[in-house]
Amino acid sequence: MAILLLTAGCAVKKMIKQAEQFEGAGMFKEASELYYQVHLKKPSKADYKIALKRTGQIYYEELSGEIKSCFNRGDYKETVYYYMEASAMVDKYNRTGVSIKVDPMMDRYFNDAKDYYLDSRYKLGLKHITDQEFVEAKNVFSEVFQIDPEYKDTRTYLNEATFEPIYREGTQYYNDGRYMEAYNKWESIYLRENNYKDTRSRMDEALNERYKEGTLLLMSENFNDAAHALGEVFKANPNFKDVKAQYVEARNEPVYRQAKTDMNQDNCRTAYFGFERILNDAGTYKDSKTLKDQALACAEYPVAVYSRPVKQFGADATQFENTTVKNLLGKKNIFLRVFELSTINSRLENRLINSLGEVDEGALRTLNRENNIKAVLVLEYDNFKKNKGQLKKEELTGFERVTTKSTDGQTSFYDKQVKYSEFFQENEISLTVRYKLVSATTGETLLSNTYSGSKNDKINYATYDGDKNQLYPAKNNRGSWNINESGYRSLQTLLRGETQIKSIENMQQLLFNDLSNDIANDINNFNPER
Amino acid sequence: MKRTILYFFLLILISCSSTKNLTYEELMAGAPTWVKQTPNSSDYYHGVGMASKVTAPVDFREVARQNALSELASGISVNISSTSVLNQFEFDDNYSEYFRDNIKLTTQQYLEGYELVDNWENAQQYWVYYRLSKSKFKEIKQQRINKAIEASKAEFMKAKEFKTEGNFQESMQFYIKSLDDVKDFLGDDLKTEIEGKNEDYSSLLISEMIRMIPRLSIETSDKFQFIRGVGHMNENITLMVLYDHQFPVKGVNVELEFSYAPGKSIMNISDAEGKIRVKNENFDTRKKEEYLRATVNIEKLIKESTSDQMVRRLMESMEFPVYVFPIEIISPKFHIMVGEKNLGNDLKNGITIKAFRNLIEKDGFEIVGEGKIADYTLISEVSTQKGNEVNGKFTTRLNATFALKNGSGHVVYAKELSDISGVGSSYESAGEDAYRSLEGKIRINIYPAMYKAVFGSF
Repeated sequence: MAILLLTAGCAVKKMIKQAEQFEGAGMFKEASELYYQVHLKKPSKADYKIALKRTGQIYYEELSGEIKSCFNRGDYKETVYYYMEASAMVDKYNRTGVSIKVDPMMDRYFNDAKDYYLDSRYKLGLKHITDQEFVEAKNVFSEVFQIDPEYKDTRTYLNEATFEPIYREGTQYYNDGRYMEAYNKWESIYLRENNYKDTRSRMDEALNERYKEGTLLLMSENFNDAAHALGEVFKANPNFKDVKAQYVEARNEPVYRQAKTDMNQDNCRTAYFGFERILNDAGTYKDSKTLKDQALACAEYPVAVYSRPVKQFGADATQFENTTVKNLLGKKNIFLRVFELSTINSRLENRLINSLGEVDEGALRTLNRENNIKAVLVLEYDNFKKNKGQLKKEELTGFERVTTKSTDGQTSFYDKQVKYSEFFQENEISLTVRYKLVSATTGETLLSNTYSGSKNDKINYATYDGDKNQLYPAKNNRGSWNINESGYRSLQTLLRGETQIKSIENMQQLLFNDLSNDIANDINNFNPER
Repeated sequence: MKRTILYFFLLILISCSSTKNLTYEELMAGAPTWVKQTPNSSDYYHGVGMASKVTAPVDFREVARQNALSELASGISVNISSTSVLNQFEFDDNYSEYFRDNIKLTTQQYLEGYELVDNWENAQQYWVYYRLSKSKFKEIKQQRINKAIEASKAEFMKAKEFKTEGNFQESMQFYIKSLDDVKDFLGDDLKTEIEGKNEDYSSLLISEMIRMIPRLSIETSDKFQFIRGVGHMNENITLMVLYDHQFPVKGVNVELEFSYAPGKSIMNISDAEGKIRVKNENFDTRKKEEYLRATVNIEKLIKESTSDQMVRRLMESMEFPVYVFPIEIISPKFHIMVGEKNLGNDLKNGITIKAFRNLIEKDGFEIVGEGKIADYTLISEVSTQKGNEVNGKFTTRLNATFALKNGSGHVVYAKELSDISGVGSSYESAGEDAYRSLEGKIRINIYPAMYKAVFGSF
């Protein structure tokens, strides 16, 4: 804040210095402008206000001289522009409380010059209008309007010069059958001048023609082009005739038809998405809601999960299967229904895999017939390794650096040989899971993949009962222990090391969750209709 | 005011450039009284000028001298005599103001006979004092007036000669030149002897010129009558510039304006027969009566005769009469022949014919019942055919042909449409819908194109 104020203060001083230089050089325009800027920044400073009034007044008198001289030599344009500059300056300074004494003679010069100048400009503008040179006419009438907005019927001619080319462009577009482009041109006029010729009725004409194009396209079942045409009309005027309903139809009818076809071809999941898209777009459309419900019922995909038995790790396999079921349900897939084989048909649990180690098609058919299961997810495990390590301890020699202070205040230290402990432990687990999604109706393997993963955790830390910060490791040199100062940082890291290892059970849950989630993702993304 | 600003400005500069701020008293210590107060006596014009050595370190003496002479000249009042030309004729206030300024400027330019009285300076300023004897000034001025009148009278006499011959251009040129000679003294009484009479010279000069103006006229024996339609713009219009209504005047610049071409003015110079020949402007008027305005424009003549702004402005204030010649606009007659069928049945209330009728009448044309008295005949055939039906919506296709023939049977515009469709709840209403679209097409495209083919623009 202080820096900002300081910077602002410096800027003002710099401007004042510059203004004084301009004033000294007789450049009153530049000087007064700078004093004006300073006055705006520091309105309470009387010195700046006085300086502005002084230089402003002198500059006004310079401008007055120019006005008079221009008028006298018959240069009416310059007279007008000098007067406008002078007036703008007086108004600008007046607004900040600095009044400039004006010469009433200037008003007379201006009014006389304005009459001459505007008369010539107005005539030139009329000539351009007559010759249909609208760009040139617009430039001229804009200038007249800026000087005197009420001069004769300048406003009308300025409108004509501005809008007529656009109006004509619209006419050309209409003639070429480019109705929306015509509409947009006329609308751009209407938004600025709603009484310009017959733009309003022309907009309606253009919109109606485009609407009819859309309607005819819809009738000929060219839905894409119909939606494009009707969409343009809808955006321009949502209440135009029945454009809203037709636009809905053009957008959704092809989707509706496709969804019905999909249903008939048992592609119920695809049909469901089609109907859902229609309902999201239109709210209601024909019997889409009923058909959507029917499609959902038809698209349901019940899956039974089965784990192949594993010797020694039976409980672990059950845990993996449960985690997989949980992850599948977590996907909230509206089509997927998940069952544990053991729960829905325990009789088949032992028969599902035949003596050859393959999925038994008879069992699959039974599952389909009795339990309406469409596919079985078979999980097989391999390379399951679980190693819960023991905590190993080693006692090591080190030195504790002890600092002493003598009576005269001098400090010194010595290294005391001590014992400390270092610990090490490692837990690790790994697993490979193969899965197959087998169709209960055909026995076909619909999806399969293998996922492997492992988790491990290690701890390595040291403990010492004395002053840990002063503990150094030792190295043995021909039977004698020496302090190892270069090993200090490594030992300090060990002293602050993690002492709690992740449990093997926890790591197993994490690993199972990761692998089963990969499988659940595959099943969730699987579309049986593709 | 100027001197106050100068003091103020100087004080600022001094206070800016020196380390110590001087008071006004300190600054002016030792200055003679003429520095503090310009002398005032009835026998002389006085001028005191000052220059800052800070702002004009090299030429402060010359700057001070110029300032002093400027003040001296400004003290010489410009009196406009009650008998002068400026009071005899009506000029606007701005012109009188301009005249005074101009005379002051001239006075300064021709200032002579002044004498240096004194000068004074300090570290910052240089002051100088001049004066001019009023009697001497008067004497010098009178010498200049006499000289100017002599020169002017020679031009004046030539102007009169040309006037007698009816040569307006030459006469006016010499009048302007003679005015130019005495321009610096138009505010004074300029008594002089002309053809044995003691005349008020400048007033005589102006009144001679003014009296010439109404004797110059623009006339024609023709009646202007144009039929709307292609070709009218090539027709010639001839006017005559006459002096005293009988002597053709050549070389006169005439400005012409057609009321149907606003903003466009044509400049033309009368030929040896005093004739002005112009081509008719293109027009697209809906009115039955228009006019041509003509007036003499002496701007060029003035510019050729004098370079002096004051004389130019004085001459520009002279107004020439405006001559207005009526032009009768004859609108062509139209006959409309339209056959309209919806699905093979004649339309009871013709949509096409109604659309054309409205547009044609709105443009001020007459519609006649017989083709043989029409200038243009519009022939149109419109019919609809069934399209298809989908979900209770019916469509039709509309075909239309348009041909506009002129009186000699030549087709000036033709158009065929086959891309109009109608949609409705029945074939009948779909046909009517197609007709409504056609109505829009007629209004927006067909009729403007037809109009453009006939009249050249829309």
